[in-house]
Amino acid sequence: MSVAAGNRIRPLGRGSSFGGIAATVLIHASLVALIYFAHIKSPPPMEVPRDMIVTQLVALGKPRDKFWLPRIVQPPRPKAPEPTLKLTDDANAAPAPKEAPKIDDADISKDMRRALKRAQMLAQATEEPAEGSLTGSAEGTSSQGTTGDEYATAVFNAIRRNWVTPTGLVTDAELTTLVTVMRISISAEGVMQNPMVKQSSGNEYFDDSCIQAVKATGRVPPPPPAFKRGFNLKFAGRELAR
Amino acid sequence: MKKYLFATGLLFAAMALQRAAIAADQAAAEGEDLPQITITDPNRDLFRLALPSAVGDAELASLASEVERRDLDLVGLFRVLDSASFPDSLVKEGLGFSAELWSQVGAQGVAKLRAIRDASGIQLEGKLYQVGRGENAALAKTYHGAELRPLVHQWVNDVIQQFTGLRGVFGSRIAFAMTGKNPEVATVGMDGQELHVVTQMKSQCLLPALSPSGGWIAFNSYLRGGADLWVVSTSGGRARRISDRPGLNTGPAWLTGGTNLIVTLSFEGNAELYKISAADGKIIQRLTNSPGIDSSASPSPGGDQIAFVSDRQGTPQIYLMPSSGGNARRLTFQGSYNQTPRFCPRKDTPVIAFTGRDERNVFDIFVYDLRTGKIDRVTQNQGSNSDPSWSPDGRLLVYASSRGGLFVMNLQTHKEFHIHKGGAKNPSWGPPPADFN
Repeated sequence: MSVAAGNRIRPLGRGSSFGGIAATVLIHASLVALIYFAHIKSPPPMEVPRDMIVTQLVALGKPRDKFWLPRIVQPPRPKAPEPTLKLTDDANAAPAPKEAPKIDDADISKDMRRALKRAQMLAQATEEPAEGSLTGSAEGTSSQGTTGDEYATAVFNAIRRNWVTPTGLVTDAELTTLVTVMRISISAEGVMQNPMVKQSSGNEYFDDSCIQAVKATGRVPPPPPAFKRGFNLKFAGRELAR
Repeated sequence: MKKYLFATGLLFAAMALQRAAIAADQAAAEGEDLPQITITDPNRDLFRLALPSAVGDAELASLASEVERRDLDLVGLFRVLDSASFPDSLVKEGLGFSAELWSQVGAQGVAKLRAIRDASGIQLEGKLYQVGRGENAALAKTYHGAELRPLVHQWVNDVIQQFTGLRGVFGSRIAFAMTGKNPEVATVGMDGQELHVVTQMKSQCLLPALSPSGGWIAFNSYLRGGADLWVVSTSGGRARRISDRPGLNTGPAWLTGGTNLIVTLSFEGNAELYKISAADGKIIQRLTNSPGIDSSASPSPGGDQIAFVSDRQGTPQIYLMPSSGGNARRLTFQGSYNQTPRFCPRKDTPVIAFTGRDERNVFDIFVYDLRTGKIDRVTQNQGSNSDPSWSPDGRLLVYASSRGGLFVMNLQTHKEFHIHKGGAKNPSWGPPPADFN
């Protein structure tokens, strides 16, 4: 649209494309920066306090008669279940032979002989060990890991061994909710330095136990590149889910 | 105008970007961008507390150390380190403190005492240090008095409060029925010291109950041939018979206020629960009316409920009814013989301790959680244990045991302490000491 010279109205941006684009870019950049800044400064989600009732795992064993009062049970050591062999669902099936057929038996078929030989070879092989790492953890859930995973496992093993929380001063119920996060610097030789509590659990004895665990451990393996600047340690009273 | 807008926008954007950069730097400094390793399920052990020998007057210091060690071991919250393992440099430290040396012996806390005589009697000075929290004492107090033992109890109560927020109850006393040749009513300090025989009935005395003030004990005696109800001052003296009705007058339980009792009376033909006046035994209200035997009442800390034993459905079980009597709800359905229910004295801990007999015909202590209905076992394979009574802070239970005498257990740590080795049964834990609140 154009009008007579002298009263000419110049549409916005017309003839000044650079200024308009620059202004638009600057405004958008500042908005992005403000959003980012506001996000990292946002308050943590509100925690609703709950009345914790501590539950117990039921022991594995013969069911106790519900009529009787409970007994205190010491959990047994973990044991792999015995393998069971189900022969048939037919109630009228012929009873199983009392002895397994042998390779040398004259009245067995060629297929049976071949199967028995194969079974013999398998039985002679050594039991396959659990896969993982020689420096892995009993709590580990992966048979392979990156360098970082293996390092984290080594640090976990070293510190957990020295981590003790006081039973009388930190109850079992409290332990399920306590979390402390510490920031650790580390030297090239693996000496942990400057332990600093970034996030307190709210229980000074739990926090103290975390600091003491780090101090008692002192040294861990030399860090790989990803850990050279240090790392955070999150101490959680209970692992509720894997 | 355009230039103005352009410059303003540029300035605004620059400021915002600078704030973002600062925030990013802060985030890096706070470690938010560092790898994180999660460590879970710690080992559990008692807090290791070192108690070096007290200093000052030799005789006083020795007694102070002995009382302090026994109290802090008994409360079941600490692992008291063996002082024989302390190097000489620590033994000679006095009331000073070297965190590094104490951490080397494995101590997490150190409590020190100094006991001397002064013009007013005895002065006890106590200092508590926590290893890893600097060289200053976390707690420092001085006490004065005529006798040393109560001063040490006050110090221990302060130490317990420093660690847990809830004051200890050392100084409180436990009443119990003696067994054997002298079956009188006695009281003993909760540390098992200072035994006092209260009654001189020269006949069997049973089921003593300390009043809320700790000034009176209601109990049963067969002095006149029957199971009569008596009241005696805790300091001793002549006992007063308040109920001699035909049949049973047993199982007294004090109500809040200390003026009334709940007892089992059978003068109307069946054992029922009644509220009576502690002054003269006058019946105020009948609380139960069932065909079974109702006994062993225990009022709740709020005074609104009463737990008791009844065999109205065949075997002795624990029931709960309003304090005004009326509809009773059965609580226990496990076990064939449950008795002596005792409410925890803390209103925020709705649990009832009781004696239960298991399938091996052994009596043990159990706790019933009113919130969940769950029963947890407290004792097992430790002889036969019965008659639980709570400490006023709800932390400990005292009970009689076939192993001989009275035992105290911390319910949180399950640490047990043998406080009295003589023949004893029916313990009743009294109120907290005067400095509890």
